[in-house]
Amino acid sequence: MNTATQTDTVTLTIDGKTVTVPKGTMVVDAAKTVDIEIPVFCYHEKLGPFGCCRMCLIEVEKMPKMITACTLAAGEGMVVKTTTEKVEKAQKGVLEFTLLNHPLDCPVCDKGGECPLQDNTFKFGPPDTRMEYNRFNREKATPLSPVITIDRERCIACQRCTRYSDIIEKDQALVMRNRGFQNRVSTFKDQPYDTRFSGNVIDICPVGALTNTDFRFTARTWDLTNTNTLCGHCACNCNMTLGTRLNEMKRVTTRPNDLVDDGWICDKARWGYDFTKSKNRITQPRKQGQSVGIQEACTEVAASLQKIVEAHGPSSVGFIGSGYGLNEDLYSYQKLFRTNLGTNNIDHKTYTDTPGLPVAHFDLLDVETSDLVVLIASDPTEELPILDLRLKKAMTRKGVQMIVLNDQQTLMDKYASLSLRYNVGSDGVLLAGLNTALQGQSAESDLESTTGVSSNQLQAVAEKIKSAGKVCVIYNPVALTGSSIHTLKQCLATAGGLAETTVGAMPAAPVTNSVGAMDMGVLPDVYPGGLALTDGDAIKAKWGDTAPLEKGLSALEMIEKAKSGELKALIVYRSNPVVDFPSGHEVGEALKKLDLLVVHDMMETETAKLAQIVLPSNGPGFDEGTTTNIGGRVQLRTKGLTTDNPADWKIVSMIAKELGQETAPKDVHAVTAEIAEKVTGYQEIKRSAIRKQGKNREAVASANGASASDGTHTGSGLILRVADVLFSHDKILDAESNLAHQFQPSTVHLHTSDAEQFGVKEGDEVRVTGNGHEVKAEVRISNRCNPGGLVLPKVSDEQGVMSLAEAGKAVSWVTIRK
Amino acid sequence: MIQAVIKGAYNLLVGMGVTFKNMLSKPVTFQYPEQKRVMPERYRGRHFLNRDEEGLEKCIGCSLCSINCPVNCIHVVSAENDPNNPVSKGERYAEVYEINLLRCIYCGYCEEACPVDAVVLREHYELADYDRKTYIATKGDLLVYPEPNVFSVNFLGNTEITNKK
Ligand code: SF4
Ligand code: SF4
Ligand code: SF4
Ligand code: SF4
Ligand code: FES
Repeated sequence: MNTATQTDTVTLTIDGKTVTVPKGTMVVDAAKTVDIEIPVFCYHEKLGPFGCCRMCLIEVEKMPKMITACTLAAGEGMVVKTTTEKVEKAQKGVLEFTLLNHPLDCPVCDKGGECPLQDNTFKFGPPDTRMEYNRFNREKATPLSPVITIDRERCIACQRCTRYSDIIEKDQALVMRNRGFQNRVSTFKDQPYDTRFSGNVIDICPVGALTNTDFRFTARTWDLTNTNTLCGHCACNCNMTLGTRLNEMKRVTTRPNDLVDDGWICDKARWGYDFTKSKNRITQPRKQGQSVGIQEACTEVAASLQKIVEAHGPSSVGFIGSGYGLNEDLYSYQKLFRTNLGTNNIDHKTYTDTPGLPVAHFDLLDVETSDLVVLIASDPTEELPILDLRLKKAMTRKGVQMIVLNDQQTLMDKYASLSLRYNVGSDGVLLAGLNTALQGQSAESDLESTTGVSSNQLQAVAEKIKSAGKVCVIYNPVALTGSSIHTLKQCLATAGGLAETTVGAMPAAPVTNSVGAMDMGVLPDVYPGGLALTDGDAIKAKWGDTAPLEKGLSALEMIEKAKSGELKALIVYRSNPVVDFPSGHEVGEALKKLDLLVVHDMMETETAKLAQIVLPSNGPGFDEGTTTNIGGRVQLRTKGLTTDNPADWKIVSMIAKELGQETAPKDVHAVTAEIAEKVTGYQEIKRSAIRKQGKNREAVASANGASASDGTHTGSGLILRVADVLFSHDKILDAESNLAHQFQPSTVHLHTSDAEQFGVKEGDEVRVTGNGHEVKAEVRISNRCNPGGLVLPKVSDEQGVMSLAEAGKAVSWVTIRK
Repeated sequence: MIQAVIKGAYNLLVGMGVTFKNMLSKPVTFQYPEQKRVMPERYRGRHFLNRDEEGLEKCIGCSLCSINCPVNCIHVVSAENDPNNPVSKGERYAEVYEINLLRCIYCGYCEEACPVDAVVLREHYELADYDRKTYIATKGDLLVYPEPNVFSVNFLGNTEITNKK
């Protein structure tokens, strides 16, 4: 025909308007681009064509009958009509049928005001009903899970929800049972529909059939104040909308951003907001258990710190932050410690990692456009749920291949074309082997005995990487042991040097702003933007002549020094070392020895109990600033709730002022602007630039350490692997949380051979002991890891698994007692 | 000249005629507050919330009145009904229902919006008071009368009448 057919676009006419769209676009979507609305119910752009509701009937010239616009791909030269008499009659007819047995309880329906059925009826429907008989009644409020209630009477059987469960979640948990008049959305045997992503069906249901149990009947949609913000749980930083009323959280809904969340959020975001009103919140600054004013508390902190620095030198004070803080807060803290107190005793983590990457920092969208994804030590399902959905999409619908390298079984194995399980703790050797394989050399002979993975298998991985055009490496630095992160980065560097392959990576640490915390230099040896201590001149130019240049203490070293009495004062920000640090049970004792412990946190924690001074941190919902997600995308988190407590960065600036800092940022934007000015990689980050979809920060300098060879470990018993759990019963999701039904019992996963050796059976109650501590757990013989290791999911704070891990050791040995 | 005198006298008589006629006719003014006016049935005075035959609240807390109100003076906070002990017939009821009678312009749009004829504006017009706070009519104030059109409770504290149909 003409030239357009050779390109990837087609041109058609809709209601007299000419539209050019990419090939494969459905007519509904093509119409949208020229502001022509074709009403739909069952069609959802993320689910693809289906064609069951017949709402979208249109006429196309040369086609004898009307056709559904949602299943018709736009064709070259098509002439589409959406407003003819025939179409209008069809629309009225379809709506009349749809409404035949619809209860029309709009005034009590939660969807009222944002309901496609209301809107379509209003715009395209018949003015009145001809139905003279009583409507068919079905079950009203029926729980589908503890957090979702279905009103079967309102369901119009569009099957969006069941298709979501099938296509997006890949679970097929929600299905249409029975046929015809009797069909009902339900699960197998009416089990609860409680997946990790179940809540999205509420948003996509075009009527008020699927409702949010917590939100049900508590507010009308138009009464809500909607704030566009980000999820504050994991490091995906999904976009969402907070619906608040009278300064109280009402609901969370999706705010599609294809670059981040692809239109979905997980259930932790949707229902994990009880912390905003929890009674465990720290709402008042306290000094020795007594409530004090915030100014008084800050003055006290500053005065005590100053006194200690004068008496014992700057290295006697330290800061332990966490990836839960916003960039602005973390930046302010590191600045306080470096420029006002003169120390590099700053850290936010207990594992080894360095900022920056030797290859490109890939964003979440790159997962879909890659040819191969290499997933290393990461369990996205539990750690970064939206990445899990993205990977499933890439694997099943975008033809991307995946290689999984992990020491434990994960739900991702199912989607991988190659899944290798290395022995727990052998990641250093494995990655070194992969590096050699990538360099085209053969691996060391003891590779298989140490790692459980043969050199042939690693060769195969290397071959796949080499033959793929674009490779996206996703790794979880937290789950790597010892200093094998450095080996991993060497691997990346090697792969990055491959001629035929584009390689990029994504550091997938689970905590909200872990990438931001690295970038902001909350590290003992790196200044913000990856500026290494060796670069003294650059540091002096940016941070002044007094900026400390000697390496500071890491978080674990600080605890160590606190125990020995060399560290005198510590500010702990949004972190709970007593529970979350290895050897946690000993951390408390160490912290008690400090002259001054300041805890700045959102929730009451075990650590806060030990503090002389407690400062309130407002946290998600109340705070405002930027976070950087695993894809390096910096986005704006805004507040939907207000509080009288100052923002975290403000508290830092109040302390800084007491310490003699003359200039103070006016508001949070001033801090963001200062970050743009001072932190390499963040030059382009301005509020206006990131407001809508966020913006990728540029690469920060990559500082790679040398890897110590810590491959073979000796010890007795089994090597501990702590696995993250999405719905962990911690301070954020407490017992009163809407998600309490998702909490799991404490379990320990063993390999069959190890279970035999220890003489335990499935379901046995055992004690896992190590490092002078024990954890009760139920045995699961799941072969989740190779023999010689055991997996202990971190299901609650109370369980205390981190105490089993030995601080400063690459691996920890544990045994099983009955 | 004579003509002018006659015309003047005539006009005087006509004018006085009106005066005398009114001296004999009944006065149109009411001796308020001794005498009270019976308002037309569709007069838009103070709001009330109706109950149904079973004594349940009619209001289902849908907030349509509040969104329709041009001056935004209705505040509704809804909650789910306990099926065993319902407050209203629907699945939801109004836990808080408040009208700011000072801000209200008595347009009646709320009444028109209500899908269940719960909120109504009645003939009650005696709304003067000394305290602004009494003008926030809460559910307790609004749900007061058991039968239509009979005010049994002294809302705002200045009325004692029982209005009749
Ligand atoms: S519950 Fe909602 S999304 Fe599911 S089939 Fe019914 S109307 Fe569609
Ligand atoms: S995947 Fe992570 S960021 Fe996204 S909604 Fe869930 S917890 Fe929040
Ligand atoms: S009468 Fe008019 S102004 Fe008064 S509450 Fe009703 S809608 Fe609002
Ligand atoms: S008075 Fe009527 S319109 Fe107002 S909330 Fe109650 S039911 Fe709805
Ligand atoms: S939207 Fe096209 S058939 Fe349902």
